[in-house]
Amino acid sequence: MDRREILKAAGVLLGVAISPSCSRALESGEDLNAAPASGELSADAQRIIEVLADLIIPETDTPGAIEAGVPQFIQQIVMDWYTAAERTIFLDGLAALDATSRSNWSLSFVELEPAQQAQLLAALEPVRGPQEQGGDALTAIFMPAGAAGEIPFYLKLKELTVLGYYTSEIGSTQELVYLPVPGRYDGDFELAEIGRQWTT
Amino acid sequence: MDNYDFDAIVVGSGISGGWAAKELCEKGLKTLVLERGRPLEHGAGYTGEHQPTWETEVRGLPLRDLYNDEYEIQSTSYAFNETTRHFWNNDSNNPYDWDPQHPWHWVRADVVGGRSLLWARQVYRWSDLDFAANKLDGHGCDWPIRYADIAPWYSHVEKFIGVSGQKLGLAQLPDGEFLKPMELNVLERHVAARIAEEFPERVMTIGRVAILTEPLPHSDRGTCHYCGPCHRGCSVGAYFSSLSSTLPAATATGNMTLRANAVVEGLDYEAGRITGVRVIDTETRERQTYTSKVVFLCASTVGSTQILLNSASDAFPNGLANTSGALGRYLMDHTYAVGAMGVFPGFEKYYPMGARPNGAYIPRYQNLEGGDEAGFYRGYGFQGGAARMNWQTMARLTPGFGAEFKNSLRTPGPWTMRLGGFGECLPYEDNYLDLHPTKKDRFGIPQARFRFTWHDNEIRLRDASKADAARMLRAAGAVSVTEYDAQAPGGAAIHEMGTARMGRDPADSVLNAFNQAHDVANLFVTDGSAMTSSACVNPSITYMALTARAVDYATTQMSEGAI
Ligand SMILES: Cc1cc2nc3c(=O)[nH]c(=O)nc-3n(C[C@H](O)[C@H](O)[C@H](O)COP(=O)(O)OP(=O)(O)OC[C@H]3O[C@@H](n4cnc5c(N)ncnc54)[C@H](O)[C@@H]3O)c2cc1C
Repeated sequence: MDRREILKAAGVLLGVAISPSCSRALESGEDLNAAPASGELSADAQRIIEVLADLIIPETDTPGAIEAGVPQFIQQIVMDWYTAAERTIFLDGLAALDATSRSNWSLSFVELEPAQQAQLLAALEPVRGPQEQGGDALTAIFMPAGAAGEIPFYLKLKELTVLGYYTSEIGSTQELVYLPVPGRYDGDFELAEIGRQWTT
Repeated sequence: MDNYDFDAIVVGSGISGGWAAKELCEKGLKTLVLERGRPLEHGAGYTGEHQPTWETEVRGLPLRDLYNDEYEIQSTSYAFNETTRHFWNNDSNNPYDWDPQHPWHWVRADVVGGRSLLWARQVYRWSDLDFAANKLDGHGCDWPIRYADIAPWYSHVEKFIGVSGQKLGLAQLPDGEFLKPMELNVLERHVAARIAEEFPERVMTIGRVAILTEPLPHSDRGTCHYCGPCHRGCSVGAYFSSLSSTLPAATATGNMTLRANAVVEGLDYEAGRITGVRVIDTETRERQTYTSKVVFLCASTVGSTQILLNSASDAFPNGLANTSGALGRYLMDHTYAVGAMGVFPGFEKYYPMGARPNGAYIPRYQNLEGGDEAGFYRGYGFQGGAARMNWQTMARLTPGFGAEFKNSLRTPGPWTMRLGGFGECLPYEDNYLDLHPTKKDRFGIPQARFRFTWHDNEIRLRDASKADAARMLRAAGAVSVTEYDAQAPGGAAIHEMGTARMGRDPADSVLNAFNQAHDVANLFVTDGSAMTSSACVNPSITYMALTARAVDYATTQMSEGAI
């Protein structure tokens, strides 16, 4: 987490006291002026993103990423918001996934069985250092290894899917509990009364 | 009104200017308020209020190119985003200059109401420990006032703006006129109890905030509904801002004229008096000079100092009212963005409801007799709070994907608590702002230029606050504690002050005990520039109290014919 982000986070007194903003992980800081590649992702890339978003946040007793419009959100960020360097990491990641699929099964990624798709995605999960597992979680949040610009494809994809879902109207109001005007503060409120998170 | 356009002119409509306007108007003075920022209407101007994230342009993500190009400094604030950007200064339109080796963050608004819209509303009285500090340890000149001089004015202000808080009976943090306190949550109460056991001289309390937890008898402002981000604007007026509180009171008298988009370039001086206030219209660039019997500079520490420096004349070659040479010097802020956070096991049953726009507070406990027993002069307090990790944090900590991943994010993560230190900064002559010799802004006004360094005392105090924060969290049962220090540049705590300080001696200070310029009887400066030292608490309520007190003095002097 860079100095600027600690500065920002440290100012927040409120409930989200330590939540590092999503912007940190998404942000690289470099190459800000690179012209965005205008237009849409290729149809193939769009289909792969749909499959991936659905794998990460599927429909359960609440709607999943597809219904919440996450693929469109990912496309918007990748095409209009990402720097050229970030976009390259992301698009290369998509291409690599498809290439692996073709070399393993001679099929494009979207043509695979869901179990095969999940297997390929799971293979991208980074091996976590011991300090990132539970115990010293906070260190991991605050001082993650590596610069933001180097965040690999898999983590970018997961972060975008999560952000797109939980900040969507569906994620905010159906998966989480949306209470824009609580009217009171109760510091002893019990989780069991709602059983899920407030939308923050 | 004789030959004057107005009885009084107030420059700035922020926290200080709003107070000056209200008090002057209520005393019956025809008052002109000049504000460089855009007009902003209470309620209608709060376009980000209660806006759900899914309706924002990129779901709350920063607009990176725009922020980088036009809001380089302002966008470092936690309160800056698309729901508030319309309140903030555009750094490329209104640039300033700083020494890259000794940087300064100038954080500011650009609307009627100034930073009263954006502030975090924390309000703490100063004590005699603070007012006597310079005299006791010899850093800076002596304050010309003591707590007893200002105490009734704190009460006057608190009763009007509404301050919620808990009385503690501490000498170093005097109690005020409080509305009922907000509550600490279940983990904060546990930590407070553990701290009280382990460190009997320390106390953790709920923050004191200028937010209504109960209605005020004299006002129709609403009470807090705990939606959270006050800085987006509150159309029911639950938190104090110039727009919710002081400017409406001034308007109600029929004595106020408010002119937005009017940047004050300088003051005219002749024969011992301010004879004119020179204004440039920010839209048309038209120039105009207004006259009044008395002038109150409330343009913020930097704004007021810049105006005085830019009003040099034959009589005052180094800046208006600056025979002392103190103008622009002794710039202070607080040490900031330093502290610790920890994860707390247990309490999983609890998950607070409501977004409390306030946190926990630990008042200063070091060097309570003055001196440097603690290894540094002065002291620090802590602001912080406890909350459970949300989906955003937990998603980063949770491997995998799919239904199991989604279900695990449904409930909140572990409890965490953060304590951040705010430390006092000593006044140093070599921390200063002046006018850039060649760089001008779009109105032709010389740009403010800064040079600021934390000295050894601040560094020692900052390090000590970090270590104390970690120690307290551990003692309270945190399993994993992380210390942090953003090495914040000066200005980042947004408590800039000291550049036209009050003092007893005209040879080393700009203002007297009533915020009146030693050199010019009808000139008052009542914002942060008047501060002779910085204490370690948030300063704005002290600006308010000093402003009300100065108006009382000025109007008495005027009725006695002394001004
Ligand atoms: C995010 C944030 C959080 C904060 N939290 C706290 C807190 O919790 N507690 C606390 O005590 N303080 C806090 N502060 C600081 C607080 O906002 C300031 O101390 C306070 O607003 C200062 O009041 P002021 O009237 O001097 O300046 P401002 O409120 O800044 O008002 C000055 C006004 O003068 C205008 N002006 C400047 N120059 C000129 C000119 N040449 N001509 C005409 N008009 C001019 C400006 O546009 C502005 O509107 C916070 C600030 C920010 C931004």
